[in-house]
Amino acid sequence: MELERTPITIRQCAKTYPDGTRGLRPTDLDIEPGEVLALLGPSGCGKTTLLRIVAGLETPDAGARILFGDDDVTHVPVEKRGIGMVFQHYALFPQMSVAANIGYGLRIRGTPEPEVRRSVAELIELVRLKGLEHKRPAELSGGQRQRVALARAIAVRPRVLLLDEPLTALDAKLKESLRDELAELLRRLHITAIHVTHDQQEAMSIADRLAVMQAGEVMQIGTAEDLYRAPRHSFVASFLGRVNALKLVTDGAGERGIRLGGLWLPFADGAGQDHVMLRPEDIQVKASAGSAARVSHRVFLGDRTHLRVTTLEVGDLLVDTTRDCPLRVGDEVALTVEPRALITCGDAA
Amino acid sequence: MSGASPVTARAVYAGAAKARWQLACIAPAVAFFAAFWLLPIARLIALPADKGWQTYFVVLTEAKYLTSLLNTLLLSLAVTALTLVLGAAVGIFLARTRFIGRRVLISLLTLPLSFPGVIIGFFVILLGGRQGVIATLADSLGLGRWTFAYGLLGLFLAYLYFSLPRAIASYAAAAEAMDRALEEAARSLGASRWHIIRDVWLPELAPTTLACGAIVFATAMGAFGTAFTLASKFEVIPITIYNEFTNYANFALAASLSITLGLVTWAALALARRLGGSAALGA
Amino acid sequence: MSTAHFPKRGAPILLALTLLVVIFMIGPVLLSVSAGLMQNYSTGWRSGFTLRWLGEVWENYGSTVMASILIATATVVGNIVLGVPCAYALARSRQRWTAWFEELMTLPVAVPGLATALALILAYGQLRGFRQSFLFVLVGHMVFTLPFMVRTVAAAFRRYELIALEEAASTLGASFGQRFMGVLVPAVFPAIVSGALMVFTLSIGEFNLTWMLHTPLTRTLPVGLADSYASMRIEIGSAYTLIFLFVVLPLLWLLQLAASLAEKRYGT
Repeated sequence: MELERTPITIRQCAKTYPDGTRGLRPTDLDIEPGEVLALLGPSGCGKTTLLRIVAGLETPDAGARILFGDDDVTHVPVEKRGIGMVFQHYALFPQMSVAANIGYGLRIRGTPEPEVRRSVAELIELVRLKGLEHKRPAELSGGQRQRVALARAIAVRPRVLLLDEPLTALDAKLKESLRDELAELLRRLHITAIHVTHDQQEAMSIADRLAVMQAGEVMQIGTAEDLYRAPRHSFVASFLGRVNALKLVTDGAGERGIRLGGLWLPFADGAGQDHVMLRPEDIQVKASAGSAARVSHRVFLGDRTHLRVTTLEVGDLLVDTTRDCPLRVGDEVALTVEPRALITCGDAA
Repeated sequence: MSGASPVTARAVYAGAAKARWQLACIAPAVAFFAAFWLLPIARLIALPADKGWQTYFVVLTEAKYLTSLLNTLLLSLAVTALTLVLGAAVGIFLARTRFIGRRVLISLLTLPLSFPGVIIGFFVILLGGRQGVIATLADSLGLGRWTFAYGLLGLFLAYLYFSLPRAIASYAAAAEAMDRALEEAARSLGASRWHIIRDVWLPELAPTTLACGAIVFATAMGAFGTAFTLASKFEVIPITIYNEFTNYANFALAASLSITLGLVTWAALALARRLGGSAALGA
Repeated sequence: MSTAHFPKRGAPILLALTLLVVIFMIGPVLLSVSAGLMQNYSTGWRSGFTLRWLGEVWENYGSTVMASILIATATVVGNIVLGVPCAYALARSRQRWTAWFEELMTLPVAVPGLATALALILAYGQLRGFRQSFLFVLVGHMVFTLPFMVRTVAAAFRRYELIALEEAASTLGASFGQRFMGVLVPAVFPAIVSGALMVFTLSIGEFNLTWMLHTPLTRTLPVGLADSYASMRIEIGSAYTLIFLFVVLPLLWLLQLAASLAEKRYGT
């Protein structure tokens, strides 16, 4: 199934609510044709607001412009925008069957019945719901409902696909398998999509690029890897994965760096910064009697082990190590860190 | 083990004590209800048998009673239909728009729920009686004193008046609870206003409509005060029952007609409860 | 959060219908209120403003106001005494017959008041003393309003949090009486108030039943109203209606306030 690839241009979109709160600050975004962009952030960061503005379900403050390709849709009502939307709780019409739900958009456009049936069959095949055409939403599982919602949204061949936390309502194991399915489907369709979520794993698996948002503002945009390795804000660094925030100290010779359990890590790049970030997986630990650093907490998570190591110089450190780590609570440890692993962000922590 | 015996004995004792307490709690209500409703009604149901069991079917066999019943049925159905349409329109409007004094307006509109039917009959007399506003207006326009209070129109308007508040309250609550996401999904698929009404609102409001409709119907069937005040030419069955009892001292007949009426209203409300859940009683 | 999701095009029809209904519903009330204060209804306001009709109504029917309020209050009290324990038992009992009883109890609501009144007269009409006292009317009112109280309070008792509360109190050693009065009743207090409001409203406005059960000495407000509409001038009827509106409505409004206050302070 080939769908149109439309770029989305968002200029100066902001949203102020009647009671004065700013849901979204003036935001500019460019989304490439066929790209999947994730809006990632905690609740209240404005990601859903932005999505609903692009959908046409909310009106932005004056001065905003939204373009689908060359088409200025800023003042076009949602019915005419040609979008497809998947809602958090699916919003399937309860009195209609799966086939009727999927075909709804086509039917109300007056598409001839044979054409509708053909499209619906194609889509049912695509989202693997064969055999369930005549069931009602109430008779389906969460994962099945999500697929119906997706099929319904795509059926009308939208220019843009908008997903509002589509996997939030599912339990963990189901989420994981559906995540991969969804990612594969979006890739196959090559449709321009905006995907809102608060789950970083979801964002990283499904999207081509991520936009991390906080308090109504986009903090940073980039691929998952760029954001993870080179975060430009401490918020982005701590939102994607975990970080230790360490205060830079000056040694006797006037050089700046970090002291860690006897280890000295010079850090010259941080002009104007007084904190650096260190990812838990970049710290190696091994048993070392007599050391000042000690394991204070240990959690076995199956494929990884998380440790909390208490040091004299920097307090508690989060350390991420392998499944087979032999260390236990109370063990004295020595730490090893590559100086390159220290990350600096554009702002003070 | 050996320790289980006193524990289970205690548990059994506790269970028995609980049951005793529950019985003590419910007994007064049961006694009251049995004495002042169950037994009297049983007596009432048995009464027509004194005159022969055909008396139970008198509503079907005697023309004047059948007419009365049919009158009441048709009136109640017509009132229900119009009430649902108007109630839905107003309820949805009030749930969707915000303006100053909205809450006050909603409480004003549901106020008549506390009026006895007689007051509403009086309102109709004020409007459409011989000295009524409409009569005076019509007279001043040279059309003669148009009086409608004592005929079918007056009765119909009065019944509409006491039925609307319930419908407005039900629909306002239901409209408030409607799932926005369904509507947004339909709009994102390109649905027009008409499509939304047909495919989203009507199905969502169907349970409320059925439940509310059944209650309005049952209330209209059993309404007495309004028709009594209007002394209407259009005889409804509660008035017939009243006349049989008071004027002709025909207890058995009155009982029989009451049973018929009771069955109809009970069936309607049972339907409401099945379809509308807890909204059916008193809401 | 966002409100006017309503398509603008549909609004005028709904707005028009709403306005029509508002005028239809509120107009007569205003008309009635003003009619009670006019000298002469047929000539309208030109005849002047007067309070004499109110005075006449009070002379002839004043007692009915107090009677109605007292009966309504007594109905509420009776319903609480009978209904709250009953609601508790219904909420907790697992026995079949209690479920049947709950269904049965709602029949007086489904069956027209006339039938209930007839039944009561047939059964107890012979007992002169009872038949001619206010007690007879009270019993009728209670029978018809009890289901409302019981249903409302039983629903509250059934809530999961209350079962947990009761179990917690038991583990702390509280006896049944202590649990009931000290823990359960306060917890369902908003439901009791809400039920009381419903019962009060129903009792004050009750006519069908009361008309059959009353005697000239045991008249309630609605019965008096019917009497005045039938036999007196329109101005008196209007003035009496005015009294109903001005006495009953503030009462109801106050009760509603009490109900929402109770909900705020005691609601879980």
